[in-house]
Amino acid sequence: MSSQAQTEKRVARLEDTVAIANTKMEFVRQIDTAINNGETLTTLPPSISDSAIMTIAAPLHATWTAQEGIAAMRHASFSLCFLGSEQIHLDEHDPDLAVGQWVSWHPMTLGGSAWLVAGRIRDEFARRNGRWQLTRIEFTPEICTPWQVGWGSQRLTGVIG
Amino acid sequence: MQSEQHGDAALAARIDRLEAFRTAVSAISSSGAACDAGPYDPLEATAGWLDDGEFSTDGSAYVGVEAIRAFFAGLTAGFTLHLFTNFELEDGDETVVRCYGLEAPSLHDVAHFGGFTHRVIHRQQDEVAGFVRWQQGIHLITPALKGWVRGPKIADQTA
Repeated sequence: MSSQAQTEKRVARLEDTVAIANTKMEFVRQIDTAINNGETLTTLPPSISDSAIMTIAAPLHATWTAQEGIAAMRHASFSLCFLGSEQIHLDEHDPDLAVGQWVSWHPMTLGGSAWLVAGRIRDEFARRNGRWQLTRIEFTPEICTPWQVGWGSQRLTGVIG
Repeated sequence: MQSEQHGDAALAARIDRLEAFRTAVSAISSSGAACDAGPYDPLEATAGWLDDGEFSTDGSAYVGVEAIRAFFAGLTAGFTLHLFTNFELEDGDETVVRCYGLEAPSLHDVAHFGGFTHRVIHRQQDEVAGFVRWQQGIHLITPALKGWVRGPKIADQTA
């Protein structure tokens, strides 16, 4: 491979990491915006695949289709999902696959009460027709508690069901 | 030869855009640290702005760096900690970055929690890079232990 081609490849990989982060942030922003404007998303955002799966690990345990996951957001009347500690890993063998990881800090209003939901996110991405899409969202909760109570004594409280 | 030069120019433009994004992210993060100084020292807080920049926050707009300094001079807090997350680069020729802001100010010795959304245009103008437009949405500034349902959703940060 020529020096020019190698440089092209390195730049393309950097562009991919930005595009993948954009995909995740756009998805989160569109959901937060809909919730905070009192709107219901009737179609999936283009940033997520129709066949995507969402899982929530123990002790909350849930597995949803993308449509079911979006529908579950109807319980929230306020949402800001802060995402930091970003790690994006492009697949070594397939240029159209990647994994992204974040730590979330997510204040929400659920059923008229303030809640804090925070934890670790591992997402899978695939590039289809030139556009990166979420194909799997895995959330491992570390904190899920009413905000007023805080997370000192009990970090995980049931919120789904 | 001509094709090779065109390829070099195209590659340089792609690298320029990546560098501009990273520069804007660093500038936004630096502005958080600058706001924490004082807190809200007007000169520190506006160090990253171009002279003709515009800052808008929930319906109010401040045009020109002097007006933006006056806005920051009107804020009071015993302590602030600004954390920017969810960086997103908009498509287009300009460097337009969206992000979220998490804030932990102490107002009148009461711990508060703040949640913000931002859309920022950062530009290289002549030899200077800086903010030309910053649109801020305030979602929460609420007493940390009461939450935003029992306590006020947006506390007055100018009182």
